[in-house]
Amino acid sequence: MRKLRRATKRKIIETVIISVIVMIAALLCIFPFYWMILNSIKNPDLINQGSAAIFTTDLTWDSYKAVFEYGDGLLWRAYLNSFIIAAIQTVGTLFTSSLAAFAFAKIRFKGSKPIFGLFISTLMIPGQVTMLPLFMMFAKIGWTNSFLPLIVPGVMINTYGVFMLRSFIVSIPSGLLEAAEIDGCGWFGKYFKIVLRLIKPALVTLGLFTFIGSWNNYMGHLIYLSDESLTTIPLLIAGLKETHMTGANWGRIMAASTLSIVPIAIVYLACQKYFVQGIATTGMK
Amino acid sequence: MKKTLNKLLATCLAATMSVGIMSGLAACTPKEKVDAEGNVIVTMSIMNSTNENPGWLAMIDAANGVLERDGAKVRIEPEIIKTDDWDQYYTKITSNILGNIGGTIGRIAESHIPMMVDKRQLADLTDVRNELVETGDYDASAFGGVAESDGRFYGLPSGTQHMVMYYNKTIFDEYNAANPDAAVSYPSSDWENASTFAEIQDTAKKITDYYSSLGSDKKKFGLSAGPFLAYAGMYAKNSGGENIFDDAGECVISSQPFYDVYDWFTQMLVTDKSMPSTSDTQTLDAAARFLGGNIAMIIDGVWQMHDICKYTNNYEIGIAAIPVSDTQYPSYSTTFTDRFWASRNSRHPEEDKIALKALMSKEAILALGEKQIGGIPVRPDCVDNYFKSIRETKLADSVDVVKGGIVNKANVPYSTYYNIVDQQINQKMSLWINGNMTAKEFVDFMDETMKKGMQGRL
Repeated sequence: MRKLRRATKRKIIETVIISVIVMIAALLCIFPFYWMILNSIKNPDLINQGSAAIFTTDLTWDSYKAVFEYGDGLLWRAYLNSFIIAAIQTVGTLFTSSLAAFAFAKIRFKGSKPIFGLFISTLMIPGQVTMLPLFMMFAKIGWTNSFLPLIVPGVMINTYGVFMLRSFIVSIPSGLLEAAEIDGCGWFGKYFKIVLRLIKPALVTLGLFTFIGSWNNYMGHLIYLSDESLTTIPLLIAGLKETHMTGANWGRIMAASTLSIVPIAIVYLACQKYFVQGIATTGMK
Repeated sequence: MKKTLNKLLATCLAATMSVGIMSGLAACTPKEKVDAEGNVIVTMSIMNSTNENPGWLAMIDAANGVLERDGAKVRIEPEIIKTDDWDQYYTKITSNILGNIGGTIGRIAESHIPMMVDKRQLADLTDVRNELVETGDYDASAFGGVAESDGRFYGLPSGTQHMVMYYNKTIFDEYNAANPDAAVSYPSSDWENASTFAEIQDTAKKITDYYSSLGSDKKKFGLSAGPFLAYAGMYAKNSGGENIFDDAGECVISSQPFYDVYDWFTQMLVTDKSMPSTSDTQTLDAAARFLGGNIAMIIDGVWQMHDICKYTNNYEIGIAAIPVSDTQYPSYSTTFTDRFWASRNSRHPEEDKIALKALMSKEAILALGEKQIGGIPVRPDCVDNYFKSIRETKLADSVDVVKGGIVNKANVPYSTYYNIVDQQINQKMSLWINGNMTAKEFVDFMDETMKKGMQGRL
């Protein structure tokens, strides 16, 4: 009896300690978002006074109003542009990456392993190295100042996506695909009817990563897009800064940043179930 | 039902992709370079800064007025590049130049000019420079410096900006009213008899200690000054030393004046804590803290005057000379001269030059100066007008102090390797500020890094 009580007591202590640690970790993660939202509704004068107060009652919607009024409602155009780029890139990436991953995982062809190794090795090339050569290529074919260079390369090759999805597809029993073949399924039938359905969590995870990456791709948007009509959310936020030396209107920047994460938050919440499942099973065989 | 839904979903996805591709293709239709009246459109890249943009846009308008008056078939259009960082701006204009898109002329910080000249990205503007000098509109000396290479000129000065010390008179007065026995004086505005490092350190400490004693929510810092490489030469000269290099071109950072300067910074940053730390400035940068009344003194550029006039309604602000180690030394001020540039790859190089000449015209410079943007004009007949515009602001009493700072210039010795040296020093700076490196060790590291840069070993 005493042993049982001691075990229960230990369990309670363990639970409390773990809960406290998790709560601290959660607070650390949440605090930047809280800080951003607080500063977006805080009286801008308070921000400039260096006030680090975590709570304040001096709140105003002025910063949001300023963002909505900026550039004659440029925010909506930026939302639309960012969404077009991110959505097309995400859908395209999921399609091509899953197709390539399926081929590498389940189709035996000569040199598949060295080709896959070569393919994966491109992950080691930093984006900065290829940025200007790619820009030159796109400039030559007249794609600059358009969404195409921001969409097409990501759709054509997403090495990380292929690598991630391949590790999922490898875990699908070959017997399942053989059974489908007996039922008359070809390669595309197996891909559409079996593989895609079974790797749904991984697709959602990759989709989310791709969407967020594209949504926040400031440098790419800065280099390729020049026209005001092609403004995206990261460019809009950069455009809201007062000067290169001071951030005198931080409230406005915080309001725009808060608004910029709304679509990502919605997508994440909608896909949370699959996303957690996808992350938890990444790399499992 | 499920099948229908799947079909619907597939149709939606296909439609989204098609719309995107079509909008992309539509956007990449070649842009017309000539307007309806047959004028060649020259695009000018400017870095985004919503409070500076009105000045640059007014300048472009005025330049277009000059072009129209002179019957030139050229018009200038702005391309506001959405960044507040010179390095990102440089990346963008580099890609523009390489891809032959976007702005074919623009404005960039002096620090990036040597790299652009070295990489042969800039058009030779020597004939424009010669013309501007021959007409007597500009002094030949205004065009020297980083934009000159082998007797050719690759940039035109857009104005000079130098460092001053701003101080919040309201904070000083409030402190003195509460501490009559330990009163502090306003910093000296005399460039030949500036306040000393010791005086400023003492004032900063007193103010910091007083406001800290009132509670954490009332805390204020006495001083903010960047211990960056760009300003190191200025402080060293104010301590009787050299501006990074001696007359023979040798790096002299490892010398007593530099050690003294960085000891001074260490005292305030580490010992007195009268300067905001890096973690303080991460939440809100020093300039914004000064504007909000959280810092009593700040050493910063004249480019801040515009913001100070706009955002410090609750405070009286004064301007003083940069402090010196001893009153025997005159006070020097780091001076920057940003440049207008033209792309070497431009399809219309002659029109670019015509546009640049219009931007260097009296009308255009006056339009810029009236907005107090772009610094002190290099064109002599526009200087008075610039200062006149400041006399109409709350900084009216400080006009002579700002003028005084022009006399003792300390130019930053920018070079092709300077930016890499600067980056490496900045990466190490936190170690010194956090007390993991002595001031001497940090100065020696600066010296070593600069020497490596000179030898091409970075």
